[in-house]
Amino acid sequence: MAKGLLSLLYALVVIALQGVLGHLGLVDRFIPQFLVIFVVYLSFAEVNTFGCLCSFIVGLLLDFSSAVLIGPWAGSFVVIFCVLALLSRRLFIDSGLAAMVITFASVVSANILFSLFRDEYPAMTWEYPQKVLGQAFSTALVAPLILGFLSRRWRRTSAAYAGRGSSVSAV
Amino acid sequence: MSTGVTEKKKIAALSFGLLCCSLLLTAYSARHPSFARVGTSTLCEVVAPLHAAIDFAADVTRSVWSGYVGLVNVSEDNKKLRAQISELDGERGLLEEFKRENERLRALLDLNSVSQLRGVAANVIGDEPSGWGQGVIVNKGSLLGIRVGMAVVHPRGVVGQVVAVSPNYSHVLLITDHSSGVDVMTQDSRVRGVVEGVGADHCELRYVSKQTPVRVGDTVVTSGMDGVFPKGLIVGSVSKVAVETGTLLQNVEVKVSVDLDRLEEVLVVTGEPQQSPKIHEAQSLVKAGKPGKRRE
Repeated sequence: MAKGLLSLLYALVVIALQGVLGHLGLVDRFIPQFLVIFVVYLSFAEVNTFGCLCSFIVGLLLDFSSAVLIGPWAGSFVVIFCVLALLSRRLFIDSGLAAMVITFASVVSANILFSLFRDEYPAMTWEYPQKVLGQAFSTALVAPLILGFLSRRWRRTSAAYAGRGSSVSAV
Repeated sequence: MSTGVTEKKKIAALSFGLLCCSLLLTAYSARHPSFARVGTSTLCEVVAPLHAAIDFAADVTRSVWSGYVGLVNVSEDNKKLRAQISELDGERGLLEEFKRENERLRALLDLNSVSQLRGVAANVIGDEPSGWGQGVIVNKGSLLGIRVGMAVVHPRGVVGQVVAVSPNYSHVLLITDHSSGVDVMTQDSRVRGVVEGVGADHCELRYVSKQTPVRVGDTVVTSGMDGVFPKGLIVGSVSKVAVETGTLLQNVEVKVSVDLDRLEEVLVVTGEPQQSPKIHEAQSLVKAGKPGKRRE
């Protein structure tokens, strides 16, 4: 429950932040996709059905923010989560470089899946790949920091939650 | 080990289910746009205050920084004076901001009076966060009469259309978005077409046959035929014309007249253009069966 609320809060703050960064003057092409980092984190820290549902809901929230189609981001995030979760025993994101590479690949894949969902790839111009690569690059740059932050926060929430559970069982 | 395998099977099964669910949702929302709007309105109401808060914090930081940075090397004796200057500098920065905002709002009011458009002036408080769509969030909503489908304009031209509204905020789809389309015509040659967004900072003028004369530099204005945008609003100018062999139509690129990356204030058109008293008088005469003077 606590983790679910934390995920929702994180998603809402990130959606607001992503919306404001462009408005504050940061070039659209370099605005990091923080939610993809969150999905990457979930696929390593929550290799279970909760993580999968969480990725779907986070994607849905992002879909709702676009006001056009509901589902493309949710579907893309679920696929990214599933692939990374299934590979999570063979991949490690403890090193910064590995986190950057995995995040970069995830952003690119999420955007390709998104465009397939929206069926807009024939209308794409050369600016799309440029934008996706720019965003993937900037996301990869900030990924080690955010993954570290999430790791600490998540562990603390999990510990608090577990502590509460044990005290209830003790009673 | 087997627990891990079972968990992975569960994840794969759930992912497949959710993927199917996403596809169904996508198909459903494509056919029923109102479905997407309900969620967007709710999300807008939750996220927009966060937008506004972050925006405000950034503005304050900017004005404090600009007021303070010039005073770093003032001597210790003038601490009191320095504080005063800093405060005044900050205020001056704010006043300068207000002055500029005033100028922009005045331009919007001018647009209002020249084009006789009735509308609500609104501030842009955030961009569309997904990074794919082209949209902005403005700080006025249904409480001020804004409804889905209303046109959004700027003194320099057309901005877009309202696609979702919550009581205090609205989501505006820019004309450069893939899903956007505006019925237009060129100002001089009156060639009609539809301006569609391509997701970049320009649009494309579609359905223009090869025979119709379109030149680089032609001004493109709204035709008023789509029932959304009033007639005669500037959309942009033709920046490129390409004629390919084997097709009936020509590729026309339109550079949007409004700098959509730097939007701050916009006018949401809430009503039909106001009619001048003379037209109104003439119409009432016609209704009453008293035709006005005819031209000989």
